[in-house]
Amino acid sequence: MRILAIETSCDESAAAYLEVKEGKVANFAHVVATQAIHAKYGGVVPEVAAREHSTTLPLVLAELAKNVVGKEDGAALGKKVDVVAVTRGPGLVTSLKVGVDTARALAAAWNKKLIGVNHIDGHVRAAWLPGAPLEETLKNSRGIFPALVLVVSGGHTELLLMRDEAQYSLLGATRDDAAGEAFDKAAKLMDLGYPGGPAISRLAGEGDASKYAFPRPMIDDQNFDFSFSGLKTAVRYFLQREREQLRDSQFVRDVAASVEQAIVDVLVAKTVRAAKQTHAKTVILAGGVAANPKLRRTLGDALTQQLPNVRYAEPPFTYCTDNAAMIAMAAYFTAKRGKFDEGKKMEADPHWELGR
Amino acid sequence: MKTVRVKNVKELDVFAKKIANGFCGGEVLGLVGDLGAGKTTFVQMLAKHLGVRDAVKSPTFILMQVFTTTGAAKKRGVTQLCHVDAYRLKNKTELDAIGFAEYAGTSGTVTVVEWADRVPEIHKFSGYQEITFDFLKNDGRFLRY
Repeated sequence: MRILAIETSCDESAAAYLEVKEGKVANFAHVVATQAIHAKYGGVVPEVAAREHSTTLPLVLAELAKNVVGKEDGAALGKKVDVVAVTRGPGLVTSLKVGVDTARALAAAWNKKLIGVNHIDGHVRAAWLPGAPLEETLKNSRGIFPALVLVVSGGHTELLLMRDEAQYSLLGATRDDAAGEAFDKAAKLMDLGYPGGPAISRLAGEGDASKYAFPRPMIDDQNFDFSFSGLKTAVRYFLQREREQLRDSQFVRDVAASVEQAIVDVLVAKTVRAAKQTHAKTVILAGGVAANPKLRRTLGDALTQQLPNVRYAEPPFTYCTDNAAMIAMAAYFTAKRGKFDEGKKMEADPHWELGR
Repeated sequence: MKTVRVKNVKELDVFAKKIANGFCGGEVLGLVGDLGAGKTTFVQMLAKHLGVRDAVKSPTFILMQVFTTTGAAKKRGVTQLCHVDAYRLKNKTELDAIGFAEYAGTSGTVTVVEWADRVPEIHKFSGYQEITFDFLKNDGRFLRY
């Protein structure tokens, strides 16, 4: 099966090509819009893409064609495609529509099958991409389910249970800010700029994580929901009192480390508890915040200590942030079940909640 | 300009209910206040009082979300709540790019914009209103509208 996938749910314009033969990836390429691609055409990557996807996506598709068929030839690329896949939701309606309309047009023009993919399903399936931890289970995934997934990014914080290859149930989600947003906004309060999540994580490496006790919202609640907005407010009040100290670099490192610890503690505690309760055989970490070294290490250590028989699947850094490779992989699983969408009826669904 | 002091989320909810019940569709409401002031919490309360059933979360990352209303709000013609977050936006061009004008000010749609001070151009929408959130010393908030 040969899949062309498109992702435009928020800020990234991305496209990917994935060929799976007898349960193995036979051919694979993916492109995310970068400054280099835009520079060729004299443009810049917009930080807020939205409608700009319609300018960026053709460039990304041309670049993908070059990677797959050796030249910027869309017709030649189309001949090597069986299924056109696209992120249908959740996301920003204006952004999603550009991808969905493009995919619909390509599928109609090339007379190919079409699949609308859930963005979160994409993040999860990144674990099956080449070089990712579940790669070898692509052919036969027996023994890995039930699998528990923690999806953490700038826009999402969700705990999902996969009973089998096809069925998701949503166990819990954030009620306000996503974990990635908590990092970014704490960074802003510390004058580290926005988005400052990666800056916090860098500074935290040299800080004392036990120095300041920030709240761990909902950590003891028996449900699997999250809330990070209160932590943000606590950091705000704390810095208001200690404003002067922000000039001291060790203070900044200690605050960064303590904030990171608070966020990671909540994520890990809830994930491990959910894994125990659901008797999960695998725990999958996914999304942009999955690139945070502290989260990766802490979750890994907690699982080794408390659930040594559980398999821990950490995504490679390349597939943590939004990309279309993961959308192609999700479409592969959907296509395997014979579930396709009708071009005329398929619409963007900005609120599409997986597993609800 | 009116002012109100709210001591806690319960009092904020009472205020949100009053504002929500006053909507008849087409309003554009800007929210101004610092990180952690309670803007998203306030929108969650407005949504509840407009009969929105989907979960309303911070739209900082995805910028804009449109919800359908139910119940009494829908009956009196308020059919949609458009929740916008201008935190990541730098100018009006970006506001246009997210498709803001397709929803803002249209009949039946109530549009609420967090960080409205980042896009001052929205003042020109007819019937534009604004609520400013300030911190009080004792954890409460001081609202101006």
